[in-house]
Amino acid sequence: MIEWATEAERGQVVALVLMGGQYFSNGIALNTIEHAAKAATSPEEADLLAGKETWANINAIDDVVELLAGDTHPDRSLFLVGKETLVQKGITTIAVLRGNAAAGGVALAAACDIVMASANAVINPAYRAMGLHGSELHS
Amino acid sequence: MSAEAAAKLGLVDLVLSRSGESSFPPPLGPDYDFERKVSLSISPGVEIQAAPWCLCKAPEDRGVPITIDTVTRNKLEYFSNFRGSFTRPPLSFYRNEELSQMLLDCHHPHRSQRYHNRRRAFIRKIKCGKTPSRYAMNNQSLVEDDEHRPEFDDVGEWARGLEWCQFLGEGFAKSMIWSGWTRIVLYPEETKFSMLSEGYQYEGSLNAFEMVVQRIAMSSSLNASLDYHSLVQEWVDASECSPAAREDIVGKHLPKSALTFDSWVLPQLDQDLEQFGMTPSASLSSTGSGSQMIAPLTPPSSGPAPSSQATRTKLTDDGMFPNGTESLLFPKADVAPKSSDDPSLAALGIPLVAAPIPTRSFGLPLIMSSAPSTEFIVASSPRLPFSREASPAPTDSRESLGLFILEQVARSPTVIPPPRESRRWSRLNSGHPDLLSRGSI
Repeated sequence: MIEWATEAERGQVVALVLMGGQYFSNGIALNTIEHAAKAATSPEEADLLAGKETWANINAIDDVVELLAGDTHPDRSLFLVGKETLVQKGITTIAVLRGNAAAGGVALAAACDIVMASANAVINPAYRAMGLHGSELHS
Repeated sequence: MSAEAAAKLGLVDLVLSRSGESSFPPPLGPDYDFERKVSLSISPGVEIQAAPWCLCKAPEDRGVPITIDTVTRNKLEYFSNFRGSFTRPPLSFYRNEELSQMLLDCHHPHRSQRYHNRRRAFIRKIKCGKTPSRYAMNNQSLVEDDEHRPEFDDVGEWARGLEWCQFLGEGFAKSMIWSGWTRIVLYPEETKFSMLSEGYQYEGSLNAFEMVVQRIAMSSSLNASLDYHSLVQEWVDASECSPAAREDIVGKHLPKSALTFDSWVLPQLDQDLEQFGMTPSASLSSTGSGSQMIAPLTPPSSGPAPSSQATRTKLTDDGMFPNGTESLLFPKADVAPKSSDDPSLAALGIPLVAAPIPTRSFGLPLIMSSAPSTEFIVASSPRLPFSREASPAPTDSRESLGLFILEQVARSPTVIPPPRESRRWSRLNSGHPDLLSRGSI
């Protein structure tokens, strides 16, 4: 969707503003991952399915973050190879946290060029409580 | 944390009030007033706060305030020019390193159990057995929470990069050869930093200097005669060290003579050899004349089976090759190959030459053995990128060989092929007690 919004056919886009809704983002949806494990017939299989779903979701959000970050180095993920990055198109990325953000959502916002937040937004960048190292280019 | 606290940390650039902010829950529907404030903040000509990479100004913009009009220009300046001082690797390096850890969280026997249990408890709102210690501010005598210990991330004996092979059946990204330092060090310890080792160091520390030199040495433009002194000086000048720290770094760590591959990289390589239980013969530690002999090489293959490329050479008792050339000692096979066409040689992806390449540094498997023997393996495998080169590795000196190896690594395909027997990787992690205690062969 971000790629669609910033295509040349949309006109000369100068800023991409991510607003969010009642909350900005909490990263990957853990309930989606839990649901993926429902088809399992054993606890081990449940963990395996959940692990695969986690992996797929993490890569998806990483793709978004890498797109927003707009690194111009040729060493980049395959889906960005050969394409102009947002910064090369002259597009500034702005995250506006109208509501709360946590974990991957914080990292996603922080990957933008400008981050604005409502005074009553609560921001929780921690991954560790969930036993996760974390991704989304947070490092 | 609050938005204000996040702003102090640099996670947020601008905090805006919104209407009805004192009410809970926040009002539904669009808040036009808030959106108007956002719009005004990014109007052309209005000075704004932005991320650090947007503050790097092009020469023509020095002295000009940051506005929405200059943000992308500054960011391009950052990506293009500031990267030239070797302090900013591609973001994909960070991504691959993080994903490597996430793979462990998803599938590693220890870490995935921890993650899945916590995830299930969170989603299903299972009642917590006790208050996490980080919230128990009234009781400082509580045992430290597991999360506050470095062991929380422990994976025991695990070869770096194995998770990609074992859990996904893929090779790992080449960037992982030297991207270990990009991980955030939550609990810093004094770690000996070696040129070709993974280093987890805070940027800005004295060891960051060594980190920079490592990256310089690893770059694909490696040149034995390249004077690293000026490159490192450039980094020191651009770094955020205080003037006193800068002087300290230059005075203590920058040799008086020009910092070249010969004077810096090779001695560090010798240190790494010792760390892996290999004892270079005395003449090899001397690099003055660069005249060390290299073990005979198997030429790149145009032949059929990979295993047929393996050549086995038995050393004499004093560590010499039968033709009188000296050798770099090399750990022996975990299960010693029985003959030169032993398929395990090719399956393990043995490096092209007899020069030992520490697993941690290049992500290639070492071969170890607990059986006392003076036999060494000199082999090549067409499966490896090295052997696809038309020209054979140079044999005139150790430094040219070292250069050749590093250049091959830099030029090799993005993905290093996984070993067929991933089980062997579990023994090849650095710091394995058997390896460290083995000492000289």
